[in-house]
Amino acid sequence: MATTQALTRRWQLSGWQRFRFWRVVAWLTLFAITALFVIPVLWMVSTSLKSPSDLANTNWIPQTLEWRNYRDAFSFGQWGRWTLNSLIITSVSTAGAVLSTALVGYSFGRLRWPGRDILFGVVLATMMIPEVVVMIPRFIIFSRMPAYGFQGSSVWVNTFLPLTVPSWLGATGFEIFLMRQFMRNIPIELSEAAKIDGASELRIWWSIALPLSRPVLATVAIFKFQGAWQDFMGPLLYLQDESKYTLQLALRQFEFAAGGAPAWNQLMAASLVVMLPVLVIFLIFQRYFVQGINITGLAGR
Amino acid sequence: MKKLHWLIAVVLVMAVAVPVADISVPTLRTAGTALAQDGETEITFWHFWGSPVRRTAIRRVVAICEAQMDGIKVNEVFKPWGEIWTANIAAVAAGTGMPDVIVEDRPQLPRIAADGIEQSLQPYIERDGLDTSVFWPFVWEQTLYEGESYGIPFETDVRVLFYNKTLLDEAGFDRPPESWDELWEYADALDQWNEDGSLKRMAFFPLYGNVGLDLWAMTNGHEWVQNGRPVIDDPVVLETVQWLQQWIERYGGWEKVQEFLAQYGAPPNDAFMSNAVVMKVDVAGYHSQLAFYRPRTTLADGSQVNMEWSAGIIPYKVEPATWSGGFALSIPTGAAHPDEAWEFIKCASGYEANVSWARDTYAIPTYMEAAYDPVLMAEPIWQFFVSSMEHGKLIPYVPEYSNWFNDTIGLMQEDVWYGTLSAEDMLADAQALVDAEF
Repeated sequence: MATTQALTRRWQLSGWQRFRFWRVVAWLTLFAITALFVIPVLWMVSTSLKSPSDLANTNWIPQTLEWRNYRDAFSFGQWGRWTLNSLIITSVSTAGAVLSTALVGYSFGRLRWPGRDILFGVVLATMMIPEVVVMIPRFIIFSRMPAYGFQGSSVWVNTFLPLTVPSWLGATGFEIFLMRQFMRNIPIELSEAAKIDGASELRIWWSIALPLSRPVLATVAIFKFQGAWQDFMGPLLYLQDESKYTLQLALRQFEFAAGGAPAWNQLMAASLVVMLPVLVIFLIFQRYFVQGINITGLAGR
Repeated sequence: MKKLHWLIAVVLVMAVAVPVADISVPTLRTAGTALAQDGETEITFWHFWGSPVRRTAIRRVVAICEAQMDGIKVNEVFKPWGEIWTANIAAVAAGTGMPDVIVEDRPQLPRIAADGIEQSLQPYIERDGLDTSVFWPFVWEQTLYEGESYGIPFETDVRVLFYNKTLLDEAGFDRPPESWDELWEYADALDQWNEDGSLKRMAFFPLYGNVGLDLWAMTNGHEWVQNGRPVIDDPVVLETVQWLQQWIERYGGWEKVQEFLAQYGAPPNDAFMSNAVVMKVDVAGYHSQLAFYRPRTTLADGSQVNMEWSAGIIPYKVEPATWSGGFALSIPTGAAHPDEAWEFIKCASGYEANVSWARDTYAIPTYMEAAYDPVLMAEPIWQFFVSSMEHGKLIPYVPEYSNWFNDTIGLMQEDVWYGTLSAEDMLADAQALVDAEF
């Protein structure tokens, strides 16, 4: 405040000017932060349009625009198949995560039952375990579970099951936590009124809690979509036929494409295209997503 | 609200319907491999060569071998570099889902064998009387653990000195430096400094590229493992460390060197292709990268020309030395079809498959005779790469302490380069740490 007063005195700024000054500072700061995130993407665009010899230069504008990089990048491999696989795994696990965490979150946030808080503590504790520690034990479990020929495999390994089914069983601790925090904020009076009208808990969840939870549903959906779309380790471990691969595995085929080094131009072209769906989904659900972050951030009543 | 419920319903139907529908989609096979017929066995082969050139090359190897093997089909599967081994370890630990054949990192084989991840191939080698003298001797030795082989060599590389021929010509040198002393002479002529005294161009820096104290000490005649024990605290090693320190001093200290090199990244933005370093040690495969990126060079008069490059032996003090990494074909523990896997490995590591692979990829064959293939030998730089293999040296595996170099000198050397630890102290401390394991 003292700084503002000093500035006002020195430059004789009026109230309006002062307002404008801080606005400019805020805009500049925001612009700088945005630039941090946008510049790498612009660099990707620039690199994706360069010729191999141009890659060695640090110029932003390619000497010649090599649109053929996009065609070349997708000319080798089963890209149509891999895209379909990514879409299947992502949509199934996103749908599962949204519905199952909404159900679990509802139970933790709005119902009273013995052992609820202890169990919630256990759920939270799972967030503290590093992924890499459970990687091999989890693989062993899935390699013992029968798939009865689903996708031509006798066990869950080499099917989409390990990548999708867990999402239908409560997904991850973080998503449950998010859902619970939000559901606790829905006025309890609404549930009580519904109960008086004879609604069951499932009915209240479906007709009252879910429609009011749109922001957090969108948040979980975006997180899950992004996570599943970009998941590398899961498909790497569980998918063994190339026809079942996802796009994230496929991107790695450019690694030795430049005489043993990565073909950066093709890699960037393919990465940009693969990145698009996440961007589109985010833009569609942006409004809900921001609401969800705001509200869940405020915590319980 | 109605809309949300509809959305959920649609997603739910999709979620159930899509995977079910997926079963009816016929399984696509990778091109070049056929489905195993009745009476045929299909083996799975994991590799990390997904790019067009290498994928085509490995498919050719598979095709050559399928034609030679009776009743064996090979399903070659691309797995990403690096993580291919994570996936294999998970599968071996689970006892299911591992391939029948995998491409392993050859210098790591003894450690991998000690962990029980791959099978010993010794029973097969002895049963079939495989002639192991067809491989480069030190390459073959890399596959051994307790006297047994855990992988048959497939593809190798060799470290050489790459030099910017355009700049050497400009400075009046008609050949690359071959000794430590000559390196100084070349550096005097090729180093460039800015007016403010900062470094503009480095002729050569011995710790830049695919090289380190381990290889430099070998060019000074040092044998790192003697009678089964690592030898670190040794006058030859000390002399090598001091020689490296002189280079660091020449360029203004470790911090300045790091600052200078940090401006450059991976190919094609590395210091050599960016003309910031005139000579560097790297693997022969770097030649293919130069050929792909075709970098340009700025001459003294400011004009730009296409860079001409070539390669020479790594400059030495006592004897020429080099080191090769590369790969081997192994059978993971618990693989379903080890006998058929062995038949494929025998073929893929043989003469015909090696020639085919090398012609496609310009990687040096592990089968010696294949390296002298007339088509490949037609290129002078190839002749040089192959002749360098003769100087190949090996640091033998030390079962008592497999990671001794990285754990000791690897961790301490930066302090020496910074000047906060004396070379003598580092070598004495490292030796003491290693000796404690025996």
